[in-house]
Amino acid sequence: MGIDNDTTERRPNPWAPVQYVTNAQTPRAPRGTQPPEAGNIILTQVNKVLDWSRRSSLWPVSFGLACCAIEMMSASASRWDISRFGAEVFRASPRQADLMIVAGRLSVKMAPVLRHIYDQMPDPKWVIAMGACASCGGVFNNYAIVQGVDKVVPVDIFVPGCPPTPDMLIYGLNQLQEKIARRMPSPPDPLAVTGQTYLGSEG
Amino acid sequence: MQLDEPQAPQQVLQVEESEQLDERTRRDTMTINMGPQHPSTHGVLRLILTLDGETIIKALPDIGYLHTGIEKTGEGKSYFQTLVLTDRMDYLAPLCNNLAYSLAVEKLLGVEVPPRAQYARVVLAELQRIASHLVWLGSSAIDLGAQSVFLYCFREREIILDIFELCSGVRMMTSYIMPGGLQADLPASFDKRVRDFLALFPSRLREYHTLLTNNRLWVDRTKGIGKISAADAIAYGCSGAVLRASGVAYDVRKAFPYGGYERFDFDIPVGSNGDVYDRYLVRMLEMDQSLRIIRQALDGMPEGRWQVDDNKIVPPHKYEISSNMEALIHHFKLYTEGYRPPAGEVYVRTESPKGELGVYLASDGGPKPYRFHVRAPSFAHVQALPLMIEGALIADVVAAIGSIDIVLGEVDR
Amino acid sequence: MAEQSNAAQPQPTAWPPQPLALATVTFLQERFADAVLEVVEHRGETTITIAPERIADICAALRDEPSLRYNFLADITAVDWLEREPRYDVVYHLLSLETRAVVRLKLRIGDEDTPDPEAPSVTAVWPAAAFYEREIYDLFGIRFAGHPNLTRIMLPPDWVGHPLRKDYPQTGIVLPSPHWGGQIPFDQPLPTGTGKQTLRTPEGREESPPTREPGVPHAPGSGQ
Repeated sequence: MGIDNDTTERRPNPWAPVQYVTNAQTPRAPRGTQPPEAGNIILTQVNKVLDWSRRSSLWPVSFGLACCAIEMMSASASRWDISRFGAEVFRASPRQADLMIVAGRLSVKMAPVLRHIYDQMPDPKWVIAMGACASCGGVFNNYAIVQGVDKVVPVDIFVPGCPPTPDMLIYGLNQLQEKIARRMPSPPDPLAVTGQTYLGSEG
Repeated sequence: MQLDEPQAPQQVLQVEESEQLDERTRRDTMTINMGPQHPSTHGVLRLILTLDGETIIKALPDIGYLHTGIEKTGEGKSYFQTLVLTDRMDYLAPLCNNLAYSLAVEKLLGVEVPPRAQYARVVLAELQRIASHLVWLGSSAIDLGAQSVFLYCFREREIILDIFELCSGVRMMTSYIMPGGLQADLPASFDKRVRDFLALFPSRLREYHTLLTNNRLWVDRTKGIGKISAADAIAYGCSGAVLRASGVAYDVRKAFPYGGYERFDFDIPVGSNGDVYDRYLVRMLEMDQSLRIIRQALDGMPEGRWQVDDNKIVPPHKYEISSNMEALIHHFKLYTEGYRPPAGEVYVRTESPKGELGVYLASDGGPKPYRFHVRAPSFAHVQALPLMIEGALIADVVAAIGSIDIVLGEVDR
Repeated sequence: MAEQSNAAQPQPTAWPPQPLALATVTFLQERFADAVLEVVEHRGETTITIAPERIADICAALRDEPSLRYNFLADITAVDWLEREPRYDVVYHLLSLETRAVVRLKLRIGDEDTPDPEAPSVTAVWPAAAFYEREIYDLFGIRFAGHPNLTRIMLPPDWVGHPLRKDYPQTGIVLPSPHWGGQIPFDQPLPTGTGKQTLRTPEGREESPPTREPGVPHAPGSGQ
């Protein structure tokens, strides 16, 4: 991946980022490149159907943390109606979900739980970081808040706003559907990159 | 409770030695972990429940999963900047938080806002109370299986949020009420929009009553469940609808009128049993009373200033900044340093939709609050939760949590 | 936007002291003459500073006095005056639901020799105090003697330090990796290396010496 994480030889940089994978480094499939299965015509068509069905029925695990969760509830209610895009089935169990909308600020105490829930979700799975706090810590740059959930789980879509309005969340969902349709891979797992593990994380 | 619910990492917790349990009960108890990620805990509350069969013999609330450090962050910002943090504590009622904080800062500064600001604040706070109760009603009803109520409640809440968006440009986190008055004058169509809502909402409220109040399923799930006596509720610091449902007529708006509430005529609904059903009825009747207050405040809304006439506290107008040197200096001073209230400490109590919301501010004479502390009503209610659910069935836990209307952003701060 | 009129501003409110708060002062000065250290009026709020060791008795007396009846504990919090000796204020906001009396009690504790001071717990008077005292213990490090279960409430049980102290940095803390976030069973020892925080300084990442025994958490319920 071209990410130099080996700082043992040199003098440690005090300002080295805690997060080693930036969004700019997120590997993306260039436009026009074919997915790996491109050689097999039948499988390509099957994959297209699979992707279509995956992006049309994204089932989110209900991971409401704070303020943004209320806007997420609004998005699933009658006025905004996220079910137009097939994502209204909020599952209480991560085993039945393939999308995690992290709605709200993530505290240090909650971070292992988030990771645990993420690990329980079956592949393929995607993550939307909803709101400023989930994306970067927001106004809470302090001891208690993880400065962005991308330090804990790989995030596909960041939705800005404090809190984002439901239409912004729906736009983020549409972007994720576009991403799935184009077979863009998710960013690398931050824990795999930094070599960290959380209690209960599988592998 | 579904078996496939997500389990947070398990934690071994034995029944304590002091428990008076016979040998058979001790052998048969089971400890389960409810939360912090659970659809019915209204956030990230975690309960460690010790069960005997389906009966809860011990409940241990574990909070802090949303600890945000708001108090510490507020101590590092000016009084003006700390306002935006208060929105994010009780995120179902941001304007009520703004009001409590603004009143505390104004008391520290020793100023009082003009009447128009007071009336507007009352209207906004009562609209926010209705919006908060709608979220409570919808989410606690969906926990007990009434999904349609959730959809109806959020439909009406959108009308209120549209009014807030009209005033401030934001749906939820408005920071519209600020120390010294309002951020801007009420928009021209505010009166009409609120009156439209006043005309619409009573019929919608009747609709909810039709759906739930005499519904056999609802009554069976709520009546006699999650009881707390008045003495216990007082001893455990409960306030708001939880305390009033137990029969104590304590409403801060009546007992310690603040921000102009003494001008308005309204009643305090009081329950008698202290169970889930009474708390439900108290909140439903409170919405009626809020409509009464809003109507009176709109009728009596005076013209005039909406901010104090002191540019050391409120920023000067944009057109003044470009023409007046003094206004430019005030603007610069306010946004870089802020104002310096005299040293001292104040505690302001207000009636938020959840209960008594207190703001304690200690000033050392500097531009930042030396200590900013919030007395959150939900914090006390979480503490009283074991009293309500110990001895009850596990299915009633969800009803009890829904009825005390906790917001974890406020509990953990 | 309507033009703001230049109507006369309402006069700043005078803040009259509450009569029942003054009665409380009189009551305490009669019953606990040696314990009342200072009485302050500010913005109509009465603050009574009392001797720390008498707080439980005073609270019980205030609750049971028929003319006052402080039956509702609104809040307990603390203030860290870093430069002052004694360092901490513990602030109690009392309220009577029957007589509508309000008063603020205050303790001053902590000095150079006792960085983690101790105050008597008032959980026996009002059960509501349990969570508030746990919160103060967690965020300020003030212990409360006689508290049934004095454990961390907001932060993970293996956290080191007390964030609301003024000498605790608001930000710039690198949590050890991995930070377990409190998901360690209460009865298991902590892995080595957990709970250490490093501070970012211009010179480099410098580990702060642990200010106390690296958090061996209390088992819940065994605090007595």
